[in-house]
Formats: sequence, C-alpha cells, structure tokens
Amino acid sequence: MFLLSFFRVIKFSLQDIGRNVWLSIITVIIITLALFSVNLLLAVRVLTSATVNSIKEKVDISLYLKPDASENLILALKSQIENFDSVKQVDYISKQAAIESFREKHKNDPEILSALLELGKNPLSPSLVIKPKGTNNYDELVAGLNKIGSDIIESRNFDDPRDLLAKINDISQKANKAGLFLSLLFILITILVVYNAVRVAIFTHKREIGIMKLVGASTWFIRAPYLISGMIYALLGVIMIIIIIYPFLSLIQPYLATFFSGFEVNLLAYYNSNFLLIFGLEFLAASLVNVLASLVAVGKYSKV
Amino acid sequence: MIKLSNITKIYPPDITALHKVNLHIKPGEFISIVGQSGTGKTTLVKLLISEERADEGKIIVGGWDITDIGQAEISVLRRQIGVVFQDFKLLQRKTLFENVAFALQVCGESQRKIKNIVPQVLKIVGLENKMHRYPLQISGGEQQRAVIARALVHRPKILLADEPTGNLDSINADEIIEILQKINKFGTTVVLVTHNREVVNKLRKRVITIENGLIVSDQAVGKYVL
Repeated sequence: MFLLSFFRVIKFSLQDIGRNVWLSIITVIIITLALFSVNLLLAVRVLTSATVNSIKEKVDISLYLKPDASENLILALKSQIENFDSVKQVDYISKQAAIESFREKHKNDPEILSALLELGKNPLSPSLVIKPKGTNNYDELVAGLNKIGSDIIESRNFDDPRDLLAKINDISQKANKAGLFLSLLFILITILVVYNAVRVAIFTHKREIGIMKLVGASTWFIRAPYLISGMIYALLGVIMIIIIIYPFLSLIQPYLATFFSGFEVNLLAYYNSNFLLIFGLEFLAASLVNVLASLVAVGKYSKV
Repeated sequence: MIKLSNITKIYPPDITALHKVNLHIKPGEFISIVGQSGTGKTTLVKLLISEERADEGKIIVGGWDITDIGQAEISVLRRQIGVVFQDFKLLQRKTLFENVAFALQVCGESQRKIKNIVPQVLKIVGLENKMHRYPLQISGGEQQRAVIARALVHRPKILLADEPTGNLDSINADEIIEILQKINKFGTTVVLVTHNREVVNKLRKRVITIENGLIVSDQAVGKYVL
C-alpha cells in the first residue's frame, strides 16, 4: 500500500513536471541562476584565500653563507635547519646558481652585466632560502637560526617581515569577514528567490490542491509529489550549474593565471578536487529550500 | 444515513447561514434541498463534507459523528461520500480517465482494479470514447458527467450534488438528473441541492425548502414552492 502510493506520488510528480513544462523550466532556470551566483561567490572566496596564502608562502628567510664555505658544511647546515619544527622547506642556492639567476634577472641591463664581467669573478655568496611552516612561527625560527654556532654563516641580519606579515594577516582576516558577510547575504537572497519561485509554481496549482483535498486525498498524498518535484528541480539545477560552471571556469582560468601571475591560483583544480562536496552541498541546500517552500505553500492551499 | 441536530453556522462577523437546522435523511432516499441563493444550501453541503464546521449542533453521517472530526479523518470521510459540484472541480491537467482514477488512487486501490473499473464508470455516464481527453476539450455537460463518474467510482453510499445543473442548458441538465435518478435506484442516497424549479417539480421526491438559514418546509413528495 505504502509502496503503491510512493510510486503513484513519483508518477504524479513526473507527470506534473512534464505537463507544466514551461513552469518547470523557469523554476529550474531560477535555481540555476541562484546557484551560479553562489558559485561565483565561492570562486571569489577561493581566489582571495589562494592569493593570501600564496603571499604568505612567499615570505622566506635567506641565510647568506661565506663564499668559500665548502659544499659539505653547507649541506650539513641545511640538514640541521631542516630539522627545526618551525621550518617547512630549505633550498640551497649555490654561488653558481645565484650568479645564473642574477644574470637572468638582469639580462636586459647591459651595464650591470658588463660590470659583472669587469669584476672577473663571481661576487655572490651561496645562501640557504628557508620557508617557515607558518607566518606565526617566524620569531621562533629567527631565534633558532641565531643559536646556530656555524662559522660558515656570513650574515645573521635577517630582514624583519613582521610588519608585512601583520598586514597580510589583517587583510586576510578582513577578506574573510567581508566574504562571510557577503556569503550570508547572497545565500539569504538566493533562498528567498528560490523559495518564492517554488511558491509561485505551487500557487498555479492552488485550485487543483483544493480539488484533490475535496476528493479525499490526504495532505501527504497531495504534498509528496510537490516535495519530489522540488528535489527534481534542485537536481536539474545542480546538473545545469555543473554544465555551465566548467566551461565558464575553463574560459576564465587563463585570464586568472595571467592576472595572478606568480601565485598558485587554479579554480578548475579546486572544483575538481571538491566536486562532490561543492555540488552535493548545493543540491542538499537547494532541495531543503524547495522542500520547505513546498511544505509551506501546499499546507496553505490544502486547508479545505 | 444523515442526521443534523440543531445545526447553527455563523460566518463572521454575524451572518447566520444556518440556524438550529434539524434534518434526517434515510438510506436510499432522493432528497432535493431548494432555496434561493444565499439561504444556506451550499453551507449544508460543506458541513456534510467537513469543508466547514458547525458552530452548534451535531452532524452524523452513516453513523459517524463528524461534528468535531480531526484533520486526518476528513480525507477518510470524503472518500465515503461522492460530491458533484456546480463548477465541476475537475483537475485540468489530468485526462478524464486520470480524474476518475484519482478518486480511487487516493483510496489506495490497485492499478489493475483502476484500469478495470474506471472505463466501466465512464461508460455509464456516456464518456467511454472521451476518456483520454482533458476537461477543457469537452463540453460543460460532459464535464459534469465526468464529475459524476468520479463521485461514483468508489461506490459511495451518499452522493451530494450541489447545483449540478447550474452551469448547464436544459437538455444537459435533464441528462444529469436522469443519471442521478439511476444512481439512486441502485441504492445510493442522493442529496440534490438546487434552485432549478423545473428539475425539482419533475422529480416528485422529498423536497426540503430552506429560507434565511431555516428549514421552512419538508414535503415527502414536494414541489418547488418559493
């Protein structure tokens, strides 16, 4: 009996979607547009977060070593620093690598290159480029580096990036707060738009709902097809947004890569790795709003 | 079959639709309830299907006290009473077959039974060739016949017909009354609410006359006297 009613309810739901095809299309379009705006907001948040994190990643400490320091001692020092808890990564830049990088950087500046030639030897020192684990571990790292009693270290006067880090953290926090506020505002608007779209769709069935009730249909029997329709609309909306968002992301990714040159920003990769989470949550949220709107609207019109 | 005791219905702010109405309808009766517009005839029908609630009094339908019936029981009550409305109340997005089948589907009847019974009932009302049409594709008289088929399909003991000929010409109206008489002959209690003088006078059945919410006459073989 329950199974029979369940199948009938699904049949009624599909029949209703098919026989009100334009209304169904419009409802799905509204849900798709709402989801598109949510995804745009998500993309902006991902970009902000990725940019701030990339800037944080770029904060590093260069430990300059004596030009005549032997390779073995340098590698031993590198390994010693790598064992620090506050260190994420240590890169060794040899004298040769440093001069090559210098030449590459100034390849369009003949005066500097000729000055280098006049010197006749490599004036640059080898160095260790140290990346801290987090921007909060900077003090701990500097203290650790100052404690090392190695003779090959040329200079311990580290540039203090704390002001820069404070600014980055401040921007990051403000961006998060603004993002959260905007997200809540957007989600609220989206909920209201979708809620009203579903209510309007059900309003057109107002008379039918009354008739069904007069013929002896239980409230559940009337309500269930609309709940299922709401979930189908949500599913179609999510499928539409998947179809739209991927070409859109592919289109803007090269521009983003150029604009955020030097930062690791890849929206497509982010969407690929979080596909189920993003679209699963969007489906659940859209279904919830649709079901809620259906419950309220059908309840209102079935009071006969 | 139907018993109303001291029924009073007042619509806000102070419109008395029915005032201390007492009525007893026996099983198998064909009764016409007549009166001018706004005298409380439709209110009476609405009370019988719990679309409205009485402010005072007691209503018993088929031995069931429905005066303070719960929301969940209303649908059960309506599945036991067939109702024919003046404005048809057919589901516009369903075919005639689906409209009639819907009354069985809400009762949880099997698909096989529905496929078997619905064409038979549509044949009784002469719509067997139009069962796959939508309500807007047929005439008013045919729509009303489809409504009767829907009201009959679950074999109710009581059929309420609220102004079933109100939107029809005299030929279609006569056809509808003939169908109602046939249904009554099979043992169904028929309550016909109308202000159609000709129909009532031709029937020569029990007539209840309502005026200003009061029963002013109850004749075993009556005529339209207003």
